[in-house]
Amino acid sequence: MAIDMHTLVDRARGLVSRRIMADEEIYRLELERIFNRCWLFLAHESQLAKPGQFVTTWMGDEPVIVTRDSHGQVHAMINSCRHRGNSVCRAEAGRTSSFMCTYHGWTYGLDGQLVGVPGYEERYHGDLDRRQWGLIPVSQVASYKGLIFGTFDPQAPPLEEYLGDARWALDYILDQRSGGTEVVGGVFKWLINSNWKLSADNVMGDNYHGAITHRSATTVGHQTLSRIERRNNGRGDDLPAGPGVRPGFSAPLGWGHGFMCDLQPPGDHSFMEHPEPLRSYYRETLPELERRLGPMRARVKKINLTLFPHASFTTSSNMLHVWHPRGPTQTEVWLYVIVDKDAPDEVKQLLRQSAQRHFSPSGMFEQDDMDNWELSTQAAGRTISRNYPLHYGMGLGHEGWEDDGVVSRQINAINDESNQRAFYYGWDDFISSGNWDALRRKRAAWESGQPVAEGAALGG
Amino acid sequence: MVDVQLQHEVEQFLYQEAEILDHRRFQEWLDLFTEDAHYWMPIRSTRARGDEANEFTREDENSYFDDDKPMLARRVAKFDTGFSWAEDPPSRTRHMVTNVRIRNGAGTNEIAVVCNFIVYRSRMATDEDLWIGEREDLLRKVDGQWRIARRKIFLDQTVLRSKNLSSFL
Repeated sequence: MAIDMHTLVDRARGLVSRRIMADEEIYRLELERIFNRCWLFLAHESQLAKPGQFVTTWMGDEPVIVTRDSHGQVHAMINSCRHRGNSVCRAEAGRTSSFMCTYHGWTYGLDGQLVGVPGYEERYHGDLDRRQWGLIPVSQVASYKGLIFGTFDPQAPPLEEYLGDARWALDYILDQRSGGTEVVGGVFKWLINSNWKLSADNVMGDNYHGAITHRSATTVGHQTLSRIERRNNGRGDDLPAGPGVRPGFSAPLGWGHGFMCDLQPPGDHSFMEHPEPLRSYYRETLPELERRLGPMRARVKKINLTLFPHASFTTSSNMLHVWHPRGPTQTEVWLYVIVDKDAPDEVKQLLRQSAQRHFSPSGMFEQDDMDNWELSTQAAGRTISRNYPLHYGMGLGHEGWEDDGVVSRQINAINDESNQRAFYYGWDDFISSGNWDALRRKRAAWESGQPVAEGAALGG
Repeated sequence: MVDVQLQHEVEQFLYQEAEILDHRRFQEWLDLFTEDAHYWMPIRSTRARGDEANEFTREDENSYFDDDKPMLARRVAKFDTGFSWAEDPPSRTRHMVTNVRIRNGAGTNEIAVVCNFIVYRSRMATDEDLWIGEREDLLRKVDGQWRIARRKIFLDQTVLRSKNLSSFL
């Protein structure tokens, strides 16, 4: 059955069609209009510290090699020989001077150029323009404060424009100290049978599920390293006992980005909720943070950020989850731990252990998310259920927008689903917009607080 | 030649442990560990031949498990909270322990034991997981009983084909 792509996100009521969580046709469209156009996280520069180092990753359904060449330049290209299409690299990471296809031996340099063709003279008679037959390049590659991104779209705006106001949160994660950041060795990788969007929208905005989904972990006294002081509400979780809001703000941004930011009360820099040596580290580095990023970010306890489409940061334990789609109903999760390069080893160890114990596949928190997402995904594919939309309407119409915030679109509360709605509005904008001019207009309209009414009503 | 009696004793100990896990007697399982126990499972990655040294993460890098006994106890306590959704309904596991080799320390109070394992998990109606790999245990005799002082778990998969690791290996 043909699907009307204009009826998937109902902005007036905050409803999202379940079909987008399981439908094959919509998934193909996501690959073309989202993953082949957006800037996607590729690697952290510390993974490519030396010339010749490489990592392999995914951009949508395309396998990509990311390298640093002998001049220090970073390159990204599709891992597929131009002769017959075989992969030219089968390792996840390593160090090399070139990539040779194991089929016939076409060989490519670290910049993707075709540098070796067996039988070039004898069999091709020199009649092959090797400059035209390099690996398919990622159209644009750029770094933002240690994170390497790429896009397949030559028309995509510069990376900084793409990131927009999300940089306020990214800078907090990446730029607290002059030495920058690095990733801890080892990337967690695992497969879950759920749609990638359910995970991406969860991290950036779901301040609702913790008290139920993660109740077992908090009940046994397991706490994240977030800078939220635990309220004594008898359950040990991080929601207020009664009505009220967490001190902080939500930033539901344009193009599907968004973040939640918890704040300390002004003047409170005790960090008492942290174990040592983290507490001392945060206290000692606070002046540097404030000098570099200003007083507002010196008050940050915790940020949850999703960069559209699929890179989610959680500053409790300094994690980056990337939700690689492996089909409409499967996601390959990659988890990185990002630490300040100049932090003492004990601090790095604490953050690493915390990430592993909370949010790796064995994590006390993470393990309880998975069935929720898998069973939600299964329901999205069923013939009756899929006609009943998902409710993302919490707080719609009661947001309390702030005009004088630190970012363009801000609510001084963390108690609704505004961020998730922004994610699906951005999703809808990418799915329905043919070019970046249209996308720019939609982002400007959203961030000015006068979004163009779009999307038809959904049933249910 | 390895002491046949010791070999038998060690194998029976490992089979007992497997039974305790499969029968979900997790408090009993905790008692099998020494107070200073360390339970560790590195991440494995696909590497080119010649780069095998980097196949597993090191102890100062990321790992699936890097637990002391209090952390293991917290994982066990989580099962009984009434809210431990990854294990409610509980997984059905079957631990197969084979190829038991005593590496060194025979005749002392601490012996290094290597074995292969297959752990099958069946969950809800049709979920299935298979974890296969090698374990390196340091067993210590405490009050006449073998106890696990160190466990290193080396999984054969690089991308984990499981939604989570809420079972013990």
